[in-house]
Amino acid sequence: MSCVSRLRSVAVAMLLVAACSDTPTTPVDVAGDRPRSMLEFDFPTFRPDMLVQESREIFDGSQAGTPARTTSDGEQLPPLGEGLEIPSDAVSDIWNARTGAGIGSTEAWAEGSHQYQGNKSRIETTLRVTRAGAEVGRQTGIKQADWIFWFDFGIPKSLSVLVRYYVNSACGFAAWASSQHDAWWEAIPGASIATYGRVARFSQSDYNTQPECPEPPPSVTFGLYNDYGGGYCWVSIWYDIWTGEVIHLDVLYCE
Amino acid sequence: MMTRNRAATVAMLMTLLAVAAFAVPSTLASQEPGRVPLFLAIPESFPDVDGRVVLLREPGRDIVLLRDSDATVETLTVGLHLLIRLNERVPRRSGQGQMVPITGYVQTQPLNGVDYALLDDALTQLKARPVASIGNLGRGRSMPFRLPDR
Repeated sequence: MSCVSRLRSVAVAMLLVAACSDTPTTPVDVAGDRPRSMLEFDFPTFRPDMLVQESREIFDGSQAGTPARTTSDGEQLPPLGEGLEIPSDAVSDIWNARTGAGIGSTEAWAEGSHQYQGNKSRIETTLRVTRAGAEVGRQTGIKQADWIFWFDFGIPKSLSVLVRYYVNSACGFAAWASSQHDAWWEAIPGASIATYGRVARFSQSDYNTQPECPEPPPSVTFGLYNDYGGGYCWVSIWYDIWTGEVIHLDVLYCE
Repeated sequence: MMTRNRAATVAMLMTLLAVAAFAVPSTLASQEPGRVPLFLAIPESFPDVDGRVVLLREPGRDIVLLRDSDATVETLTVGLHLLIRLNERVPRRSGQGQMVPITGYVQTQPLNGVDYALLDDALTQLKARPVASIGNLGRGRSMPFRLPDR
């Protein structure tokens, strides 16, 4: 074999080796579409509380539109004066503890709310989505309000939290929710010995349903590639495939 | 003369092989337009995510993560079903992955017998796989899976 032929064969062989190699010979495509093996795995770093959609509004009882004051047992409380009135019979209290829930063609929602007296309060509202009588998904929103103990003077305040589940179906789902309401005094943050007057309430919404789904036509064959016949709830989390960093959340869906 | 001809033939053959190697996709490349390799995995330690099944859609692959304690035909069905729907509806994003924890589901119609047998067989194979490293999920079982054409 001549020297030229030998060199040509070596060059072609090198080309072949490069073509067959799984290892990229160029720098990694950070932009991102190079297929990855099962072992190149960067599971996203994700905290469940990133999913919680919540709103909090705190106002004193003198504001217009404040609901009539009743305890969670339905006992009517005297009207508030200028927002500094302290109920005479309780160190701390929760009233108007309630949970509302609803479901439409695009979303299910729940809102837990209460008014309270104390410098700390917490509300935990859980929205449940059901289908055919079975729970499909649930989401909990938690909010805690912290006020400075020494300058509180027992001002009545409000706390609420909102939880949502988006639905891609206008039929067949139902939603209901419940809330745990807490209020207390805490003179020194985190010190249990300086905590007193803890009050807890529980509230629950009605059961809210979408219209029944029409019966599927008899020609539909059920199976993996058609419609397996059911419903599910899920959340979509977009992340950087190289770092695992969460980029965007598409909250929660049911369909 | 004969040696030169043989060398030229060998070189041409190797060139053709090289071209073919570029033309044939690797095992991780798309097997057909719109379809990327799919893996099923059961990690020994499931990630701290509130989901019975977790889907991972990335530019070059799909992964269905099942819990060891809940790896059933039903959970696999739901995962694959949603994965197929997402692949039809939601475009992949360059450089980004989509993690989809399925927080809950209810199945109101049974699978047909063909699908059930197919998925049951896949799960049996998956559970028989040796435990090995599966990236930063730690150790677990995994295998490639191909949805049959319909």
